[in-house]
Amino acid sequence: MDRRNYFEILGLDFDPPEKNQRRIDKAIAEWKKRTEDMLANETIATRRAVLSDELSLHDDMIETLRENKTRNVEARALKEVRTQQLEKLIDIMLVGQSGTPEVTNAQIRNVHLKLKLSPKTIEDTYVKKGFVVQRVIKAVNLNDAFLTPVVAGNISSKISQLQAMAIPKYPWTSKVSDLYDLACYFGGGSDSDTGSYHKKRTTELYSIMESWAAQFASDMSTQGHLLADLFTAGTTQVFNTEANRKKYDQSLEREKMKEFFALLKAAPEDFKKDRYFADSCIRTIQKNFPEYNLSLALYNQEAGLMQDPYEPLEALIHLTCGSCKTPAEFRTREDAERGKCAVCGAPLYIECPKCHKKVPATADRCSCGFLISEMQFFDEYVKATEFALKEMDLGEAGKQYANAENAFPGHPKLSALSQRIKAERDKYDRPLNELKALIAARMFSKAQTLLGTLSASMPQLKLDSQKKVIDEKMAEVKRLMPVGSSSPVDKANRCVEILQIVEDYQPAIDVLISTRPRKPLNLSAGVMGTSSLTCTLSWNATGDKGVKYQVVRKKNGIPQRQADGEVLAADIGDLSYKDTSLQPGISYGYAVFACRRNVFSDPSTCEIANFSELDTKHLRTSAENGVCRFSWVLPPNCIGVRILRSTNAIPSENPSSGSTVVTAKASANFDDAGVSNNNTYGYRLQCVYPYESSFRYSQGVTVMLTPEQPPAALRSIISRIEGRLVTIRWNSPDNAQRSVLIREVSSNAANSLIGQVIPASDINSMIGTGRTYANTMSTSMQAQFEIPPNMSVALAVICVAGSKGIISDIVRVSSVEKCEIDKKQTRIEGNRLRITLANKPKNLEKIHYIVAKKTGSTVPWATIEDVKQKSLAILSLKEYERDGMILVEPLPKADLYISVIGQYRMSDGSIIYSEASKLRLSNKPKEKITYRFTWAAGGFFSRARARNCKLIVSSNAEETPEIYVVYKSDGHIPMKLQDPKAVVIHTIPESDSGFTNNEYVYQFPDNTWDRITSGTPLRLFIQDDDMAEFEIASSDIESCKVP
Amino acid sequence: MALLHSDVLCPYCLQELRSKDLKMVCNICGTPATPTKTELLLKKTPKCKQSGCRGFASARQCSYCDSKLPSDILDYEKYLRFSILGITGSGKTNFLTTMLHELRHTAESPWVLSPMDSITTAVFQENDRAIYNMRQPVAATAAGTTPPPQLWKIKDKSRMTNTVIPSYSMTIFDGAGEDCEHIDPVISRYIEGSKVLVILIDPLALHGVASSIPQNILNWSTSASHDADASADMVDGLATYIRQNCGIAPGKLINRDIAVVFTKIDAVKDTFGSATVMQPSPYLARKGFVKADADAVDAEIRDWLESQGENIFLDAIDTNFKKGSVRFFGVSSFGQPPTGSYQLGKVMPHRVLDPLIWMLSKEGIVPTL
Repeated sequence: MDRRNYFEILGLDFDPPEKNQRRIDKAIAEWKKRTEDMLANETIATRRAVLSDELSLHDDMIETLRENKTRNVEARALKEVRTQQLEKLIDIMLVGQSGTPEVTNAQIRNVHLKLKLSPKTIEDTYVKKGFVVQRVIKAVNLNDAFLTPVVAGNISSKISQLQAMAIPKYPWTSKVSDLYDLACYFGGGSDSDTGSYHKKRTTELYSIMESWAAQFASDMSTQGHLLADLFTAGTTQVFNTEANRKKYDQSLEREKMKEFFALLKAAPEDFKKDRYFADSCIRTIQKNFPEYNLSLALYNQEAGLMQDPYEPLEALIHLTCGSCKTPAEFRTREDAERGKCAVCGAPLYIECPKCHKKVPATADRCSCGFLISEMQFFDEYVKATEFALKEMDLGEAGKQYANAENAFPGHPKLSALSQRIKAERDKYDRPLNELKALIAARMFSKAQTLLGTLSASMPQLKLDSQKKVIDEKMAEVKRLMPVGSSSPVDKANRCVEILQIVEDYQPAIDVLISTRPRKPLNLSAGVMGTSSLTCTLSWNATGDKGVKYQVVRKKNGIPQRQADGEVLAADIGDLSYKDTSLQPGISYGYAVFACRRNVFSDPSTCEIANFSELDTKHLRTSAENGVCRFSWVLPPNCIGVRILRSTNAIPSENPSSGSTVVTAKASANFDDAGVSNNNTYGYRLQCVYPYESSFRYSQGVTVMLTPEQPPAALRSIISRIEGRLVTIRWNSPDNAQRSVLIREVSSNAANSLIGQVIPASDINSMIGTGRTYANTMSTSMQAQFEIPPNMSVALAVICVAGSKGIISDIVRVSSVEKCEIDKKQTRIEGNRLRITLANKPKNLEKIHYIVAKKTGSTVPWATIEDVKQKSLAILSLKEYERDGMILVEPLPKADLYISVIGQYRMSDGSIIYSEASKLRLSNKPKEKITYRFTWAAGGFFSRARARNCKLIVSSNAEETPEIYVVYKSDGHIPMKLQDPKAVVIHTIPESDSGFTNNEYVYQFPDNTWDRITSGTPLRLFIQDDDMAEFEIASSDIESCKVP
Repeated sequence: MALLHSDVLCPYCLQELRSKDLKMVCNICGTPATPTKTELLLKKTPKCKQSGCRGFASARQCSYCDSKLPSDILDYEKYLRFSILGITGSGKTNFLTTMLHELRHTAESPWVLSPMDSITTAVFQENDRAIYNMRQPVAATAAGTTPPPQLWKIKDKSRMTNTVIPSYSMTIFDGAGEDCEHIDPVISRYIEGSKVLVILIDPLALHGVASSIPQNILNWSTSASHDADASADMVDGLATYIRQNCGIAPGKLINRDIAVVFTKIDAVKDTFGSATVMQPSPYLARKGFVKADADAVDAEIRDWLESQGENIFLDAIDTNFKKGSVRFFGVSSFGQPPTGSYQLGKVMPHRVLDPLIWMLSKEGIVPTL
């Protein structure tokens, strides 16, 4: 006999198999205990035998479930059995079914609970059997289906208030149950019409609501407020869109089921998810809300199951009959598409007229976007179109036809209707459009005539609206026509106003033709520009309405009529005009006419003439040795230049006694040789223009010139810089005294000017506004000056004579901060010289240095020339920074002359050298100075005492420095003379002859030691400056302690 | 120094050997060879006994440590040995390298210094290149490791005759940051065998000094991060160790020459002003150990330590070592502070030869003036 599967016996998960050994052991233990208890209580022998047999499996069970491999085999066996059971169940369900069956997740969960197979295995099995898994039904959002509770409640409460309100004017208020009823009563309907308003188009309902909302907006009574609120809600929240209207309709339906929902809420919680109870309730809801998903969502909402909603086990397709709204259910889509309503026999699916797919009859839209619900209005649209045609309202007919075509594209009725509309349009459209165009163009006189013709020939046309407009306008202008003693100007202005209403009103036109407008006032002209001239004309209006202006120009004369000259502009409304087609040297006459209906006023006139001057850009003047030269380019129409000259003054415009006409008409240039050097002359250069048979002269361009001997370029210019000091030397070309200016050059163009004579006043513009470093005479042959540190500057050497100068050369010099030796830190240590720099100047690149000893009479300081000859040692700045010093070793035992010269690389790439920094140090062997103290000797049993102290200083030096005897007030060894605690108790004076007998002895007074603690060390110090030459040390360090 | 009962000192294990104790090995195959009586009598180099080998047993090995000894091991007049000790970062290797460099390259030096073995050559060259070429301090020796001793041969030009130049063997043990509480047996051998112990102290690691010195100067020191009393503790530990190994009673002062060398003295030069310790050393110029100068330096450093409140350190010295055997020195291996991060300026050692010349004077190689 086959044993039961261990997983089945123990109730453990087998898909996937339980792996937790503790859990397995616990399950086995519980099973064993349970079975043993049952065996103990069991009296029936056969039953006891079964239990005993089962208990005998215990060891094998443990063995099987302990090993992964055997445990998996056991689990797999049970899984196969359960899967086979499920397949059999599915086969039974599929008997008699056609199409593609569906299974819900709820059903999968249900099977999982019963068979303990994993949902994945169950799903796979269903799919294997041809099922499609119906994913979770997308919950319907109730906010998309109903008005929000606030809005719906607000409308409902206001309707209730209205019902309770007795309004004599509206006795039917108690019968109003919704907004449809309200629209019906206010739309002029009676009790019997209320139903039909539910079927009215939304736009109609909206217009009813809107018109009444406007009317009640100003009604301050209680009922007025209430009704205004209801109509406003109707326009803004209900009938403003089709969707909102549908929500409102469904909210009304939901309101009707209020009692049922109250009962549903009160139902026991256990029932609510019971399949039979839930499906029964949903079917009840479907009576009002045939769409299954909406009913299901409403059920879950009203039953309070939104958190854990009910889901149907069976995957059914729920449909509603489009005609009688009866619900129907089908297992497969194929069945549903073939199905018909069980009550009225109507098909449940219809074909989309646009894409020809099957669509549920109750659907709003097809998946292609076509609005299915609109189809029901097709007949209405067709009727409306026919009615409009009958009424000869072709616009409305076209509109309704478009609606019908949209509601049911391709419907057979449409083509006939379309042909009718076209025929009617062909017949009536042209004359009607002509009439419309005349009205739009304000040609009401002509329109009136055409209207009369049309009324006679096409009596069926409704032209009342057009006739009304035309008659009104014509009546208005007749009334406005001036009569009596008005001035012609006023009459004309009134007629202009009339023609703005009726463009073709002949009496007004006649008045204007017979009245000339007045001429423009205050015409003025102004000319601007030199090479291209612009004349601006401006004038004032006279007050005449409806006038335009015409501008006429005439050369050498003034236009008298509108055709007398060149018409520059006609029909301009502005009160100014710019003439840009002027030429210099020609006189122009301008006339401006006011013009109305081709009737011109008298002209307003003016004349302008522009005699251009010489263009100073092209004018070249120069004063040279005994001659003043001029050259120019003549402006257009100019035939030459007259030059006037005065001495020391500018000549006046007309020749006079103080001025001379040096030339009456020179064409392109002129040299005035009638001048003397060093005298200043004023010139006026006037352009000559022909005018009739004579000439006219421009005001003229003036210039002052002083002929003089030119400057001469300096020769052999040499520059030299040491540190910041610049020396520039030159040779003078002759013995003449000329100024020499050394100026900084800041203009790049200056190099091209070397050797050129330039006006002294132009120096700034030519070489830039740099600093002047020197101003001397050419005979001094050199200039010396300083430039700021770390600066590279180009200097122009300008020789100036009179008002002219010549740039003799441009030299570039650079200054740098001197590379200084730090005289305190630079010292000799042992036989090494350690050179430290006091600064690291900007742009420093290398350090050239030399330590030399004096061999002759010359002091061996290094110079820049030595650097250039590479006779100095070199250290890069980087190496110096790395070393922290310049180290020189070994050293000669002599006086050392240290020179350090910096090499700098400037930003322009040039290399310059600083002047040498110099230091002399002595490396002669130091003179030794030794010292010791003697104290009063101690007794046999006592130590030395601080009495009879003698200082003995020995040195063979020929001269000795000042020496200080020092102790430290805190009792420690004095290390430096500058120590704040150092106390000098004796000073040995400097001596030029050294110590007598090479020894200096000093006896300290005994009271010296009274204030000094016993054991205090004493030391002798010399000044730091003397340490290069002297070395001082104690010969007996033990003696240097106060006993 | 003359060895009492032996002729030779193994520079590796510092074991005193008699010349007959030296192992003689073949210079070709390395096989040990015992000289025959005839060879001994005639002072001939024994032949290799290995069949087929025609080498001579001219190479010598220490019979204790089997180290290969220099061929001229028997020719040295004196066997100098000293150990350089100090906490990590006190600058032992830098001091040793600059000291040896100065000794070899200073023109006034009367000694010719040459390495005795390839390890010494390699170590010195590497350290010398780091300091003088790359301008970088030598990387710290890993604490706890036992570096091999440096073996040098000194030839004394000042005592040279027409035929003979006195030579000395010098074994220097460069420690690796000892705390002297847990001393490696090999290191202990060198400490025990050293005639002079050079204790290097970084003044910036002393609490009293560090507290009176600006932080930027303190940054130069890598040993400043040690415990404030690390140097004093090292001295105590060293003394305890010497006592234990030399059988000196705890209450008795140790009579061993100790050079207490303060490195990085340039960092505190402002404190010393124009004191003797800041002046160039006169020893080489005067060709001897100038006692007055050394006394002045010793007194100045002691006084300076007192003024800085470093009594703990001074007490550690004074309570362990006999007064006359301890001498204070002030040196600077590089002569100036680093010019950049891990970058030295020009190396200008200051007084680095002073401790060595003191030791040589103790050995009688240089005179005391």
